[in-house]
Amino acid sequence: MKIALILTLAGLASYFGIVLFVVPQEYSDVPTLEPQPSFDAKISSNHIRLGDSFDIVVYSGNSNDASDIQIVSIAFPNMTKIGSNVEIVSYDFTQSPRYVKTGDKIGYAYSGGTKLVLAQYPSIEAYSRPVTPGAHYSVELKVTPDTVGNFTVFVKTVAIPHTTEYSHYPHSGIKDHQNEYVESFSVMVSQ
Amino acid sequence: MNYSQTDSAKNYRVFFLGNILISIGILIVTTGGSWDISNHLLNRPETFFAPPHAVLYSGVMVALFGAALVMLKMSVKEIKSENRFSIKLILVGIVLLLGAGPFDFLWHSSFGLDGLLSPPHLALICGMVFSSIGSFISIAKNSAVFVSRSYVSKNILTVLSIIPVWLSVTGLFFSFSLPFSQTDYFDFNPDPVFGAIFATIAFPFLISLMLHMAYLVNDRKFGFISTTGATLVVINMMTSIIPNPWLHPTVPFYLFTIIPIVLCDLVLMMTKNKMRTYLAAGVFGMLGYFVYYPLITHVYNKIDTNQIVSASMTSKIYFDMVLSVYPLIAVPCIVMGLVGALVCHRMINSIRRQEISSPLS
Repeated sequence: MKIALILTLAGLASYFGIVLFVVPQEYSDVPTLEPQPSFDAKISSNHIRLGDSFDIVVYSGNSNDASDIQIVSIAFPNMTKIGSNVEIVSYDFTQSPRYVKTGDKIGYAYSGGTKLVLAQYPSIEAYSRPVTPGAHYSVELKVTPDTVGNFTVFVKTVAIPHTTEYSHYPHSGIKDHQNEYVESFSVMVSQ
Repeated sequence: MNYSQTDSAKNYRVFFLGNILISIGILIVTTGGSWDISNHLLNRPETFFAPPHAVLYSGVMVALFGAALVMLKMSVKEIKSENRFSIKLILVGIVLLLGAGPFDFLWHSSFGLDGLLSPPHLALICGMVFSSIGSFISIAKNSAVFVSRSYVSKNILTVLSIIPVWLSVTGLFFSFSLPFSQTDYFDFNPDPVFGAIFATIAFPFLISLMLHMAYLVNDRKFGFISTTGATLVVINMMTSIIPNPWLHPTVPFYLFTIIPIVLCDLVLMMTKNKMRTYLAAGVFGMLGYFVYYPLITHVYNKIDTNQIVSASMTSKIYFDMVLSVYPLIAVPCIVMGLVGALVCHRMINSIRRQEISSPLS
C-alpha cells in the first residue's frame, strides 16, 4: 500500500511537471496565423451636387491564412455624426455592422482594442468571423454629404490576429485617427 | 420515512423524480449556456434560433416539469418537513428562472445585445444555482432509499446532482471574472485585477468543494470523485474546446486533467489519515488554472499580456502565460482548495445533523 501511495504521489508530481514545463513548450511553438486582408473600393461619382448621393462599394478579401476576424472600416472625417447621411445599401459580412460615433473608444495602432483612443469622426465597421483564405465580402453604402467642398472617405481593413505588416491593408500611405493606414477617396460636392 | 404505505412511497418517488428532472434540466441549461458562450466567442450569433439556445431552453422546460412534480408533492406532510430547506431553494430558483425570461426579453428590447453579466442573466444564473442546490440536497437526502445497493446508479445520481450545481456556480463565478460584459449601453466588465483575484480564489474553492461533496455524500468511497471530475472535464471539453477548431490539438492536454483527479481519489482510498484530505484538497485547488481552460485565458490575459484572445490565439496565449501566472496563483489556489474541503465537511455534517434530527422531531 505504501508503494502504491508513493507511486500515486509521484504521478501527481509528474502531472504538474508535465503541464507546467513540457506541454506549454509544445503548444507555444505552434505557428500563429498570418492572414493577408485586402480590399478594392469603387466610388460611383467623383463630383456631385449638394443634396445628391454617391455610392461606395468595398469588396474585401483575405489570402494566405484564415483570420479569426476581419474588419473593413469606412470612415467619414468630414462628418461629426452619421445620422441619415449614410445608408447601407447591401451587406454580406457575417456579422452586423458596428457604428462608431465621434468620441467612442476605439482601438489604436492595430492593437485590436487593447490600446484605446477616442474616435475623432464617425465610421462604419463591417466585419466577418472567421474569414477563410479566398473568402470575399462586400458592403455598399449610399452617402449624402451635407456640406459643400471636398468630401473624404477613409477605407481600411484589418485582420485579427494581427501578426505581420500584411495583416492590414493598405500597408502604407495616410494614417487615420487610430494611427492605422487608410486609403482615401474624395468626392467634390458643389452648390 | 415510512414506505409501508403505497401512497407514501409513490409520493416520495414522484418527489424524487421531480428533483432528478430539475437537476437534469439545469445540467442541460448550463451545458447549453457554456456552448452559447463559446459560440459567441467564435462567431457571435445574432439570431435567437441558434442550437445552443435550443439546448438551453429545452433544459428550462425539463427543469420546470421537474419543479411541477416537486410542487405537486411538497404539500405532503412528511416530504415537506424533511425537505423544507431544499424545497424553498427550488421554489426561489424556479421563480427566478421563470422571471429571467421576460426580464431578458425586455432588457434586449431596450438595450440590444447584452453581455455575460447583466441583471436578467444574473437572475437566470442565480435561479439555476438555487434550484440545482435545492435538488442536490433533496437527492442526497433521499437517494439512499432509492438506489442504496447500486454503485453505478449512485455514480450516475452523484453526477446528475452535483454537476448542475458545479456548472451553474461556475457560470456565476465567470460572470464576475470574465471581461465579456461591455455593451453599447453598460459596462459591467469586472476590473481586470478584481477578476483575476476573484477567479484565483473562487475556482479552486469550487473544484475542491464539489469533488469533496461527491466523495462525502457517498460515504468516502472510491470512484465518485473520479466520475464527477471526469464528467465536468468532458462537458467543458465538449462545450468550450470542441466548438473551436483551433483548440482541437489541446484536447489531449485538457483530458490529461482527469489524471490528478483520479490519483487524488486513489490517495483518499489508500490512506486513512487527515493528511490525505489536505493533500487532495490542495491538489484540487491547484487544478483551477487547468480545469477552467480555455475561458480562464481571458481572465488572466487582461492583467498579464493583454493581447486579443481571438479563436486561433487562445491556446498560445494560455500556454505563454502558464509560467508567469501559475507561480503567483499556486499558493492561493492550494489555500482555497483546503477551504473548499473544510466548508464541504461542515456542509455535509450540517445536512447529516438535519437528517438525524428530522425523524426525531
